[in-house]
Amino acid sequence: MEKHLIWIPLLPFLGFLVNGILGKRLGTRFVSTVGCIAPLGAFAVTVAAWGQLQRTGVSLHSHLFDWISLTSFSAPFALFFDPIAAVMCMVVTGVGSLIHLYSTRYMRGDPGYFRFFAYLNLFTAFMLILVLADNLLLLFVGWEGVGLCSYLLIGFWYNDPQNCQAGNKAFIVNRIGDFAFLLGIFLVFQTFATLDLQTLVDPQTLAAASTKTLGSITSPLLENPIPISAVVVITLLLFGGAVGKSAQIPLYVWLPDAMAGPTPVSALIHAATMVTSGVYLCCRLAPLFASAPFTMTIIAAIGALTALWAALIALTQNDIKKVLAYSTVSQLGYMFFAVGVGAFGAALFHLVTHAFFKALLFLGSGSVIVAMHHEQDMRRMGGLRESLPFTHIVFVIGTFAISGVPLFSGFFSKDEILFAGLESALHSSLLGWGFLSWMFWGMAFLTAGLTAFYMLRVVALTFWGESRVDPELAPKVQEPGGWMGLVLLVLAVLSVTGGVIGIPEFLGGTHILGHFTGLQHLVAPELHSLEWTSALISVAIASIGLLMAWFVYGRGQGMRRSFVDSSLGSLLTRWSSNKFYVDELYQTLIVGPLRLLAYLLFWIVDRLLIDKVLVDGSGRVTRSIGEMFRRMQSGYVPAYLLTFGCGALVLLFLMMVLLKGGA
Amino acid sequence: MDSLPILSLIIFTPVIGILLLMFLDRRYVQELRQVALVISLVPLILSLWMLHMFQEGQGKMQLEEVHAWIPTLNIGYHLGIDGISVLLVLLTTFLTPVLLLSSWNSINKRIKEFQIAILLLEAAMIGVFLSLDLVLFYLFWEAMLIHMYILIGVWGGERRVYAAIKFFIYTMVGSLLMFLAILYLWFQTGSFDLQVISSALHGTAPLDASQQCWLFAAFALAFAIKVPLFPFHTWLPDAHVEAPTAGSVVLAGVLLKMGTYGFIRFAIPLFPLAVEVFYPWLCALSIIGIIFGAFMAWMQTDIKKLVAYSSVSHLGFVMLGIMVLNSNGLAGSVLQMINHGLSTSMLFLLVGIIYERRHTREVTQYGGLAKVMPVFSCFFMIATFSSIGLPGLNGFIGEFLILLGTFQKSVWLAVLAATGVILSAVYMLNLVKRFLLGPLDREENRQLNDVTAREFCYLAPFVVLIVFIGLYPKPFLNLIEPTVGYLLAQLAH
Repeated sequence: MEKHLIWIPLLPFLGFLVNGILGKRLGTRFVSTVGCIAPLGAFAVTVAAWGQLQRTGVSLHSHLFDWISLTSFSAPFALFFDPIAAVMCMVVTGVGSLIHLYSTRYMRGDPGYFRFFAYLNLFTAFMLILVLADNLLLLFVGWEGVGLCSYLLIGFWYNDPQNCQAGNKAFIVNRIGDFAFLLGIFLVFQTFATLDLQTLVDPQTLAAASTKTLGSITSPLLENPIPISAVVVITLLLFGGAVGKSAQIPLYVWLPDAMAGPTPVSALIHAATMVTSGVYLCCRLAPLFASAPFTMTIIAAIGALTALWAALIALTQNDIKKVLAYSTVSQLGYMFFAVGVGAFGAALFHLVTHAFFKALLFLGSGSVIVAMHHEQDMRRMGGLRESLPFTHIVFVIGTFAISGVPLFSGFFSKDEILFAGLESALHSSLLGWGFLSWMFWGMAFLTAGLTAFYMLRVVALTFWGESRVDPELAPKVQEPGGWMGLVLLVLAVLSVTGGVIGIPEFLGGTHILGHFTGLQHLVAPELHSLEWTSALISVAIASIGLLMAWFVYGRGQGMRRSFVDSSLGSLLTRWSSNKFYVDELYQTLIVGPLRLLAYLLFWIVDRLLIDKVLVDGSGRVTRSIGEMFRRMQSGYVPAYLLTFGCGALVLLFLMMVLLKGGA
Repeated sequence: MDSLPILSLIIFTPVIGILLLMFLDRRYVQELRQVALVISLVPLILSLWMLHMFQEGQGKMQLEEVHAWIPTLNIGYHLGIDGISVLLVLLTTFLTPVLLLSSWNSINKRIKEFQIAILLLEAAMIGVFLSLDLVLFYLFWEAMLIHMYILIGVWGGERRVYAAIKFFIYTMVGSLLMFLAILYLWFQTGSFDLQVISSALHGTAPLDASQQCWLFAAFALAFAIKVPLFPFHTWLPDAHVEAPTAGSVVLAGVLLKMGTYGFIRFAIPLFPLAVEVFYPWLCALSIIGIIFGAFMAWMQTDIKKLVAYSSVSHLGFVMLGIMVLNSNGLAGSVLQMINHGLSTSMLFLLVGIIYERRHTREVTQYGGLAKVMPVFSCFFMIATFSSIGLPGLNGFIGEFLILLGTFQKSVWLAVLAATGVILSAVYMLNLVKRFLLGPLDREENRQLNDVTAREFCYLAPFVVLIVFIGLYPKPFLNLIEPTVGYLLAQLAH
């Protein structure tokens, strides 16, 4: 089996090559066949590898070749299939295959059909390299490779410059994160002398490394200098990469714009898989992160803050995909919050269930968008329950799952995160800053309510109430059908039942996922009584969110009006719908000044100072000196004679004076 | 060695080929082109054979050819090759047929002279990389300069005379000082032979620190102008913009590498004490070059100028890797010299292709080309991402090793240099957006033809190499590493 591990990323890559080179000539049917068989094949290989992993309990390792090999640095091209990678591989190939199938219908008739499948296959290949890489550098290949595909697919409809701009923004913002990631890789190599992921989480190496420091902070305010631990800096830098890729504050701004891509892309790349790779990285390196408490606090803070922040923005967006995009940012924040409080298993669990229900929601919105002939504004929807009954049902299922309605998949994972947050608040494990942990938990708790609220708002605005659809369009709205319906059905089933892999013990489960990956969360015995309480309050907050949304959006306009018309309400609404002006802020504070700097450097330093003054200037000086001497060569004989005579006289005079002086 | 003088053969087959060309009547244009192409393939084949003869795993010079040339002045004809120059020679012999192919239709005046200039330029460039005698080196260096001057001055654009003279005088100033330094070394050691001088400086006739500094400065100036290192770079955009496509390609692909090669081959090994003094300054200039070049590239609307400034940024990386003087940095730099030779040459070839069709390099004149020229756009994207340093393509390996080496030397230098990784994405993606993407709103661009079979043939090898080095750099690193190790061991003495 180990030999065959390479097929997992290789099959989609071959799909990319075949579709990319031949796809245009061989037509739609060929392209969709190849495009779907590739990830399905990878899925089959993953299942087989999983089987072996289950049987033997030994991780699979496949060394393919030496990639970079110097005596002073080496990184092999090697794949590693352990339980964590297995879970992620399942999600990527499983959900990935479903989305490929969905796309055969969604993209039908698009002139770039072959290109779309080629890119999607390439993405799958890179994503699987990211997941399976056995060292950080190979992981980085996948990491940037998925960024490339994300760029290509966001700008897939490149006719519109706005889409291209969104693609550029995604790639560049990710590069800012990757800048930190790259430095993190260097520091890992300096500290551990290897980039091998297994070595990084090895308890002995870790114990040795955690004593290493990189100098210390001294300040007159401090009595003792604070040493800077290498592991803390490493984890912070790697987390910096994760902040870019997984769209956390302050680098989340690219993800909402990324919705410019086709909807299946939003589902696969910008919800289910790529954006979760930051969380995956943290889980992969869980022991390393866990040994850096300072980093963990930062991660929890950023996670909780992002969760709340994005949820607040999602409340007022009118573009159906924008709501889902901010919701993704928010849910990713949830996962990082889980990481930050040390509940890596819960983060991975939520990653899996989120992949199911968010893919469902995105693809559901895709059905609506196709049915509405590419209309995405919810203000021009409403009442679609009549014409899209099936989509309506699956969308509501997705909404219940993400809101944490009991027994739906999202309930179990979200509850586990909230409980872990509560637990850490009680234990004040975050550097002893008790109130901070309570605050983070409170933010996560509040977010749960907001999530339920904005998701039901989407349902209400899209499917319920009066139809605001363009009357000409209205009769034409119908279920897209075909593969799309089937895929939605499968995802709906997964969204409902996906939670079984992580049912906690107090609810009679065994948390299969936690045991399988070894990331299970051990609950202190004295806190067992709290598990029920925590579950109840998370159900309560979800219900409140759903009910409020139902009152405000489901039943008439009265309450919404009165809120929006109040002065505080209108201010909040304006700020939220303008995304708190963060894009504008970045534009004025960062992009603008940099452009100005570049402009000034070009015209003043490069063109004027260096080129005109120094380079051409030295030429001109040489020339004018030459000019001076040239003037003496007038060709006018009397002038020469005069100069000659004068010179002779001067010489004579000098000689006389000097000789006299000498004698 | 009694075997075949393979190195001399590689240098002089283009020259012999020129004699052949002279017998062809200039009216037979097509035949001239074909013959020149065939001639240019001979050095390529010979250099592949040279690679076959080259023994991996040795850091020392190989396949050496030593003959007395002007015995009274102790000037010798001394050629040799190591793991660094072998790659640069291969790059040169690979690019020359590409140059001729790319100029197939775009050069229509003085075709025969053009081919002669290209072939002589090739001989001179290979000579520069193979010479181990300073006078011989200097001769090839100047010969290369003259042919490049002619290439820009005769077949260039509108402001070709200004650009050619600027290029020539700028480089000449540097070279003259270098020549004085070479003479000084001769007075000091009585030889022009690099190996003799080197052993003399390390043994019988050592130089003191201040002598070393002056000599290093003279060499370094010549090479820094060639690289070009900030602030000696302003000749480059002008030269690139005015040069014909073939000129730009050879300038970016090979000529700039002569500067960095000069540092590795001459300036650093000969004057280790001076390196100690100067390296912080050179590191600083490299970093400024990386960032400044990137900012300048961001501001350009002329595609050729943009790529030219990006070269300033990339060569900043190469210089940085050299100046940190450790094996990761140096190996990365040598590999990056090849990588830049591939990706930037490819970009210039692509710009040349579009210029041939539309006669403008202004990016504002384009947009939406992906629709009418999908294959061209695909090539351009690959070159772009190679240049950005996307992992999996060649540029990443070089950049990564350079930054790793820098990090091992100084964390803060690496932090500063790594910002180049972000900036390169900014200016290149901005170019792609305006050039290839967006709406196809200009009437003139609707009729553009995609790449022809001929163009495809010379672009495809670039893609193969870009991907190959990115995924399997081992054969290249195996050539580079022993040489770099040998050089560093010498320095450590």
